[in-house]
Amino acid sequence: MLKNLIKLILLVFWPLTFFLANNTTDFLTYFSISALIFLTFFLFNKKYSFYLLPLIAIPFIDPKLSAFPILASAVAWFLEAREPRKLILNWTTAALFLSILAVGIQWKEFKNQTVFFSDYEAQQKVLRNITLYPNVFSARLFQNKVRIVFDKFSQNFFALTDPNNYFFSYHPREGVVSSQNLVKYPFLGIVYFLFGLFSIKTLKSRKFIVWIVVALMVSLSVLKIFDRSDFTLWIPLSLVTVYGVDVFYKARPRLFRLFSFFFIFFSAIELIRILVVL
Amino acid sequence: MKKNLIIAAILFLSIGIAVLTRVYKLGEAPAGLYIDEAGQGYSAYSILKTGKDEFGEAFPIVFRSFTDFKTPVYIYLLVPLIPIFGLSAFTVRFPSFFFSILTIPLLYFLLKRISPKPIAVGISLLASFLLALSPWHILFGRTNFECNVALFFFLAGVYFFYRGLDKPKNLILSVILFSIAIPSYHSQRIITPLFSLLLFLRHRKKLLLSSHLKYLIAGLILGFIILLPTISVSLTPGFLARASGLNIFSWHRQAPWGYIPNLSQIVDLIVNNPIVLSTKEFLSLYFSYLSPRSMFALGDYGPRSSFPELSTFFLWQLPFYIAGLYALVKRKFDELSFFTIALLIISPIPAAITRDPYSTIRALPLVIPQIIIVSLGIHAFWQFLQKRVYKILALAGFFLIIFYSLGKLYSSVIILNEYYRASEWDYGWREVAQTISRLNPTLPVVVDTARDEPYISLLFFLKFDPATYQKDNVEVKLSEYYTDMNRLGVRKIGHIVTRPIDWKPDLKIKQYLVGDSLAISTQQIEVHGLTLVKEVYYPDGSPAFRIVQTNP
Repeated sequence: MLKNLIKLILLVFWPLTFFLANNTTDFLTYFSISALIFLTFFLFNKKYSFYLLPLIAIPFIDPKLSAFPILASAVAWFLEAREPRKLILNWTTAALFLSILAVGIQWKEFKNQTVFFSDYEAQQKVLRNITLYPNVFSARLFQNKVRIVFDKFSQNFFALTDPNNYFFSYHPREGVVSSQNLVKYPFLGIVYFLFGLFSIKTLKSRKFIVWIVVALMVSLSVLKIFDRSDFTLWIPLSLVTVYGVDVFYKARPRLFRLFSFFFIFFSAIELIRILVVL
Repeated sequence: MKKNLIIAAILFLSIGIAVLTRVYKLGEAPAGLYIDEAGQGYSAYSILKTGKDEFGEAFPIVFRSFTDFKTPVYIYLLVPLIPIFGLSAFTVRFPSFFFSILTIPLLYFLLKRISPKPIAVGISLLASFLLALSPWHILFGRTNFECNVALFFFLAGVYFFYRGLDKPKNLILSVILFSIAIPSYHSQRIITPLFSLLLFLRHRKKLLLSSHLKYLIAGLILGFIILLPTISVSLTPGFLARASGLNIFSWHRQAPWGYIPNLSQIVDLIVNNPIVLSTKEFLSLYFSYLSPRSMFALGDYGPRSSFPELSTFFLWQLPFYIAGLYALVKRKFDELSFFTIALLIISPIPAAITRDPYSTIRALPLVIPQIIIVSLGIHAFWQFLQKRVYKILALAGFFLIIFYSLGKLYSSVIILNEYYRASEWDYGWREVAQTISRLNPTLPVVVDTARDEPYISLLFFLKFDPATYQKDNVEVKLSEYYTDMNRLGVRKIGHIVTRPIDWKPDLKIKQYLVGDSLAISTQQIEVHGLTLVKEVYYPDGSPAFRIVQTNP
């Protein structure tokens, strides 16, 4: 009962804040993408060989996420090729092909929303910095246009892999431009998340989680602004966090109960805050 | 014999890199001298000349400085240096440089002592090499920040503690070093006692043996004597100024993070519960110190505690950090694991109770466990490579990365930092002081204080006689040195007065006015018929200060 209540609290925060901070159309758009990821998870667990197919619909719901099905299919193809099961491999190949096709259809819209867009201001700064160096070699080595794209990618990547992003709405007093800064999980939920993360080796669906998270992290990192699209991480991150509840309970049942009391108390206040703010 | 030579060569190479990266243009880059640096330098100069600081207090326990109080160890270390090197930016930064160099071999010997034999030499050499190259450690080794000196005394205390387990006499030295570390920097007031307590608990059986206990007690008595002056002022507002001004729990000074204004009383009680908000803020700050985003991408937000385009760690260290974390969790819990994990957990605490996100000054000891983790990752990677050819390739790649990292340091520390952050380092006061000293001494000089505390920079660069300054400027009664937090609005430095410019009366007197480009704009020069005596520029070409003469 207590475990289920905690799991429910952990699961409900992000969709709730997302719903309250966005209009219904946006909410339904990203929720449906998460639903497709969940469907893929379900098919994967039931060992259906065509489990990847739901992902192909994603570029048509949000062109920004066009890279995701390709990356997901490519990673899956790589994993399946190591232990070939012909039927699955065929379906994966088909999914990869169809994903590329889907991106081809949505290409124009997709390209403009990635880090590859031409940033005039950043280019000017690079040109100005180049003049400060004593020779051309060092200037080109440390100030070049490739770095503009790389910096944007790494900035996104580190923001997406930062636990503070999910449990504390980034860092305190950090003004995050172009982000809704939503409360995604109750902050004490980080304890369950860490339990889940450190025990991921024993989680049955670890292969799915790692595969989906890698594909999502990369495909979100190439976006100019990943805000809202990062809601797609709700399913895999919740799976880890919810698993952490079970691990914590099994490892230290008495401490779990004590901690859960604080967790529920603090989460209730956070929930009220969400309703007041949003 | 040959192995020992190679080890010595690598260790000297690390020290050589440390010296090169810290001593190159020491005192010149950053080109300016921040007011805290000037303040510490002048306090030491004043102590040297008069035995009192600039406020007239004889040998203070903590030094009054602007709105807070500075820890004493660094300032007293400066005193004997001034007769040797003079009062200069080089001198005030020298103790940071010196102790950051000493930390390199110290870390080597410490890790060699606590690591298991098969990896001891490898990990110790790697960690000291990476520390020599660390942007985080280099920054505080090139500038006047007390944290680097404090880190040295702390690590030296830990080293002699471990030596003391075998040769108990060393315990006395260990406690003495810990006692010096505590007043060396604010955050060590928390880190050193907590870490010492953990060391004691872990080794209590040995420490309570009669062979060790007598030395431990002797050390504690000596440590208490060293700390006695600090303890005697520990409850004064001056001593607590820094902590109470910055900590996230001082709700009366600043609303807690996430405070929502204008709520009804009942809703306010729930929603703005300070315990909930401060717990959340503390945890978020704490985790930010362990976040790869802070370590490899964002770095410190402070313009003086970071270099442009450089974080606290190099990006190439990220995969090794992850591998190292895995290796740390997987390995047997030995002394190296204890030291690394304990310091990793304790180091962010003092920084996390202050408001600034990812304050690398306050969390400097964290560089040690994080460097050890990267070293463990590199070591694990090296072990993973089986074939000789792979090892040669990896070594070649490693050398290339090191050269790139050195170039990156030069790019950020010397080129970009000078160009973009000169104003943050109070660039320009040296030139202003030089110009003032050449002006007509019979005319008064008014230096504007609307946005700055220029008096300390002027005292420093003019090497103004401390006895005269003490006589002419009384901020507080000496009996209230540690308790009265009031400031002096107007200061007199010979014929120079520092105060805000008041245009109407100031234009009626023939005198010089000094201010930044906002205080004395080109329009004001034109409108008031002022004579421009000197304009000081930042390295990017924008005006920093203007010195003008009035024409009543």
